[in-house]
Amino acid sequence: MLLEVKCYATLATFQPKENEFHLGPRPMLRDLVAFLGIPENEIKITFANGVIVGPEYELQEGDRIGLFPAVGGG
Amino acid sequence: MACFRLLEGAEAMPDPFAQRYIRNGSTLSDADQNRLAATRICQLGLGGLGGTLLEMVARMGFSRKGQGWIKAADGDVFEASNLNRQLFSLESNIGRPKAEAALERIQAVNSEVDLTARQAVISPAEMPGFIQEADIILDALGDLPTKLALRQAAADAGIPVISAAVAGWTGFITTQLPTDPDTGIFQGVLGHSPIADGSPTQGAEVPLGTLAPCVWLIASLQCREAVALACGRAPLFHGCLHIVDLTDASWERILLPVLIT
Repeated sequence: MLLEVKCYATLATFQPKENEFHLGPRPMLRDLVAFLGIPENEIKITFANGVIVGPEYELQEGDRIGLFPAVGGG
Repeated sequence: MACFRLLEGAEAMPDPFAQRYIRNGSTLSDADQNRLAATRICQLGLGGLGGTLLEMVARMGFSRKGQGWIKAADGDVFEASNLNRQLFSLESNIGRPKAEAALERIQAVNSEVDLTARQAVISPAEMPGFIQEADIILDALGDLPTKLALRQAAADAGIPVISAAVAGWTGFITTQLPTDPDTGIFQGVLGHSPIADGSPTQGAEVPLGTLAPCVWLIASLQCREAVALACGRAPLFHGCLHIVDLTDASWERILLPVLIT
C-alpha cells in the first residue's frame, strides 16, 4: 500500500524512508502506528488527507497521513 | 493633510506620529484602522509568542487609549534561556518581570496603546474575571493545561480565542469561536492521545526547544487572525488547525471534524 506519511516534531525519528507499506488486509491507522513502532501515547493528533481521524480509520491507497505529538511551547 | 493636537497652554503642534499607520496602506481601510483602535484584547503570556505578538499588535494600531484596551498577564521573570527568542528579553533585564518589560517596551513603541500588564499567573478560577469584556483573547500561554482552562473560560464568556504553540521548527494555530459546538476540541486534539489514553506526556518543546523563527512566524499568524476578527472578517484559522513545519516548509490545514457542517 502506498502512503505519504509525515511524522512531526519529536516523532520525526520514526519517519519512514519508503512510501510503500505492507500492513495486511484492510489496515487501520493503528496498524500503521504499530508498524512504525511509535508508542501510541506519544501521538496526540492523527490526520488523513487534511482531516482529523481516529485510530480506527481504515487506510486507503495513496492517503496522506500525519502524526503529531503534544506541542505546547511558546 | 496635516494633523494637529492641542497641547495644554501651547499653540497647536503637529503630531510627530501622524504618519504612524500610513504604511498599513490601503490593506487596512480607515474604518478597519478604527476598528483595531477600538478593540479590547486580553493576552495571556508575554514570553516567546506573547512578546512578538504584543509588539505586533501595538504596531498595527490596536487598542488606542480612550477607545480600546489590552490587558496582558505573565507571572514570570526573564531568564537567560529566554534570550534566544523572547523579544522583550535583554541581557540587561534578566530577573525582571516580563509584564514590566512589556509595558516599558510598548510604551516606547506606541504610547497610544492602552496597555495594562500584570505580573501574575491567572489561575483557572481568575480567568472569567480577567477576560471579562474582551473582544478577542490571545493565547500565548506555554503550557497545555492552562490553555485548556483559558479556552473553556473563553467559550463560557462568548469570546473568541486565538491559540498557538511551538516545538522546534513546528508550530500550530487554531481559532475557537463562541459558536463552536464543542469546546473540548483542543483537549481532544492535544490533551489526550486519540490512540491510547495513556498518562500525560511532556510537550515536544521540552526536548526540541523553541526557536525564534518558528515562534515569531506563529505569533505573526496570531496577529493576522486578530486583525481579521477585529475588522469583522472571516477568521483564517477557525474550524481547522494549521500546522506549519519549518523543517521542510510544509503547511498543513487540518479540518476539525466536529466543526465540519
